[in-house]
Amino acid sequence: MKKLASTTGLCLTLALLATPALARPVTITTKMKPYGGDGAYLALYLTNAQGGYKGTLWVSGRKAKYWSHLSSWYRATRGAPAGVDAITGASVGAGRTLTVTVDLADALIDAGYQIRVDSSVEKNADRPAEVVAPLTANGRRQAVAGRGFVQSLQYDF
Amino acid sequence: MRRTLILLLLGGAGFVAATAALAGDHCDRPMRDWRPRQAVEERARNLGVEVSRIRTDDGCYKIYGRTADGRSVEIEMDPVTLKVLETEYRDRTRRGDHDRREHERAAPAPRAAPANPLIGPATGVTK
Repeated sequence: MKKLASTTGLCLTLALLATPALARPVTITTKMKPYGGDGAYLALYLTNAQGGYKGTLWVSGRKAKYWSHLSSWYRATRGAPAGVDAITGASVGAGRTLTVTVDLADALIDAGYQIRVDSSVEKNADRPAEVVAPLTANGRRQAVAGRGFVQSLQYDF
Repeated sequence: MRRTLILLLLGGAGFVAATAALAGDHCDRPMRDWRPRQAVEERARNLGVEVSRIRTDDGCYKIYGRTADGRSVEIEMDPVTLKVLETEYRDRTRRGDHDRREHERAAPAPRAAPANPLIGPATGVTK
């Protein structure tokens, strides 16, 4: 019985360490415009209200040599943050929708943080910070329009 | 004379550094270890692709062909292990010459937490 209790306690501790304290899954949906070109490279990242980089949420597009075109994110991360391979997927085609689910600590919500998106399309253009969406409880399910290849971004939790 | 020699040496070193930076951005395998094209063609055939063209791109093999169901496909392959690195289908839409591309990867990326402790693991799906 004592052994069972200690094992359960250990499991709970490990589970708490594995996820941020008081975190919740946040689903970020990014819909692309039908711009009619190759798949877009995207960087979804978190900044504070002044635009200071706080962390990468997702990168679309696996060829690292093109990441420099995601200029604001690339500059802030000095290339790419450690472990970015694990949160990297394929580029997102025109008209398609990328859905990212990420665990975010409650402390990040209504605290002046922003979700930003840099985008780039080969033989087209680079659009740094084309979406800036304040991360707030009131901002849930509200579509924020992009200024480049992104039609809209919205998040929910 | 001496100054010219120094400038030439500096230029040469710069060229070598630039070439090294450009080379091997993707597959970084020595040429002596590369598998022959016949092996690549056989591997693609085993994957059910009728090969129309094989070329090299960023140090990887790139195979163009058609699947059994008639879809046009591009496959990126490691030149040594012949592991499929990327599969890209090209579906012609009815809207003229606009290509609808579908990117797929051989294996899904594992979940891992980014450096910021306030940000947990993430997954992404494209539809």
